[in-house]
Amino acid sequence: MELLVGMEEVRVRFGGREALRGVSLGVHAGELVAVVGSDGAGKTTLLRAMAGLLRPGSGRVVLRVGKEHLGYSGTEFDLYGDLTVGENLAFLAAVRGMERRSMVAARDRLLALVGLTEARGRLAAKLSGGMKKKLGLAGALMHEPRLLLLDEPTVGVDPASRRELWDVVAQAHAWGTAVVFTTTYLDEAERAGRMLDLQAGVLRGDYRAAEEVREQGWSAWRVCLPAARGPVRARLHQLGLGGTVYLTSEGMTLLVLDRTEAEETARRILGPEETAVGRGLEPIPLTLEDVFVIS
Amino acid sequence: MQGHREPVADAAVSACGAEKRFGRLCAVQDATFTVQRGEVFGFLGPNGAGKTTMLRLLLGLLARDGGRLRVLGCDPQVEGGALRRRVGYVTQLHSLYTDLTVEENLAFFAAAYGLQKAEVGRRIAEEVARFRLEGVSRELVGRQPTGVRRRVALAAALLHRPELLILDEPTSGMDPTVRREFWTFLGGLAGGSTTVIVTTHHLEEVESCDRLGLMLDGRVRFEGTPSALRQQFGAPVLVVQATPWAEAFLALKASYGGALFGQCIHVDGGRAGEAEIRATLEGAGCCVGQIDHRAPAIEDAFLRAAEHFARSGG
Repeated sequence: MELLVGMEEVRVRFGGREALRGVSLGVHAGELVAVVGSDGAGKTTLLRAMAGLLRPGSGRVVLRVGKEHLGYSGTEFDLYGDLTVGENLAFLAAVRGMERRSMVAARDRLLALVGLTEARGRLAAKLSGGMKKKLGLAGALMHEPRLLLLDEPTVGVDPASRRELWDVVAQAHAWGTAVVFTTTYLDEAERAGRMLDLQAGVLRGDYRAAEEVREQGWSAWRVCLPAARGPVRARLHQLGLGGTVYLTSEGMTLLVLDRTEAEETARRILGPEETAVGRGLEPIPLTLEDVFVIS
Repeated sequence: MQGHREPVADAAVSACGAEKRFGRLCAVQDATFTVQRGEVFGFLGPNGAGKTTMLRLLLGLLARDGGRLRVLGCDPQVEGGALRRRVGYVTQLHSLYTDLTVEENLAFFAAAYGLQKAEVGRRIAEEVARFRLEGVSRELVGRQPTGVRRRVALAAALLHRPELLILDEPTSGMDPTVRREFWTFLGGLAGGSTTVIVTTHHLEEVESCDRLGLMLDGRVRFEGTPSALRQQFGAPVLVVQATPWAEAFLALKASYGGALFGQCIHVDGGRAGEAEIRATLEGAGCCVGQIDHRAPAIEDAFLRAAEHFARSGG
């Protein structure tokens, strides 16, 4: 697949602090990539470097799509609060040199896509957090970019609007736009086909969903628990198994290398007299969070 | 589900119609729920739903405008001071003194909780060991990263062996491994005479709670286990793999709605069955790979519950 943007050993420094420490990666056409990292990991810096909004101190960023094919929406609301929703989109189109008729069509189409048609006459400053994010996304999609970069697209957004935003991103992706988004939430990363794990400016992992760890032999198993969970929890706490065994409302999930290990571990926690172990153990899909914890 | 009930004897928290207004805004209204001793109870809800206000009512930090509330058998408004010595509270901002060292902070909180002088040294040493704070005990808290501050705040809240530990959004910004270990730790703490109450807007954390209180617009709209929330409001999910995935996604989305996860399409089982999905995909010229059935996700259940209560109003 065609390479859209490549980074080689990119380092970015702000004063005394290194925000990116030798990052190398490539994003190809047709990809939906999640960059996951906690606050301060360097996600915004990474995205800005990718977009050509800042120059690395060392290393190279090669952006193979022209600016006219790149869409970018940052964490902060970067449109005009004193313009209406419609005016903001018209302004962005004008800046990009879109001629009026295609701008009007694109604007109406995007307003419908993000669900802001009825709010077109509202001042952007008066929009809720979720609606601002939708406007930002619409703005970034106006010119049908080949590569869309979104910095924490759903932070501070209510769950229903979050859903709607992901809906729009998924559609844009299905229509052929490659997308890179940053997030601190692993459950959002599940929506991507590829996840990059960024920690303190270093790319620690590049996972294609659960395929890689499954190839290494990991699997997830679930066992039902007795109604009284207290003793199980206390035992889990005692054994200190890290994140590879955890409780959910459906039972206890074990991340192991095979069924035998699942049985042994379950027996250690539940006790040898818990006969449900052998019968009640069922294989379940690995979540992206499981992949993260195992790696 | 709402309505009046007598306070439950020996519950950790028993609330009946609790209310708190700020001017015309009703931050908490008609809140009725029970937290059992020894359980891990989660207040779930979007920001602004009233979770933090609820915690402050439980601690007697705010005076309520109506209803009844008992925490560890006391009315927080009447016996707040005595109650707060039996409760540990960790806020989102950790509420530590940045210009004091770790040890000085712990000593301060020990005194605030009324620990006897003879015990203070021993308890501080125990918590420093438990939370691996030896290396930073003489360092100023203000110079420590978030992870360390979080441990100090937790240590401070546990110095006096509280019967009730209340944590406001404790896992924001934690990476998944740390978060799972944290929940295992909380699980080990709860039980018997120690109860844990947590607020969160991270839906996946809810799985780790024994029971939940779902708050929407200041009201406790649902009280029960995470499983019960799923069963009551969730719909099963059909996970569809088909090629080409983009066409399959767009076709399913147009007919039944659908969400994309990697190249799998999740369809609400309440809106379409397997047969309909296959027919739609074949009609769109797609090749159906696999269709798996999955139990309702908590997030789905939460969203449907929110829609349900928004529609039923009042």
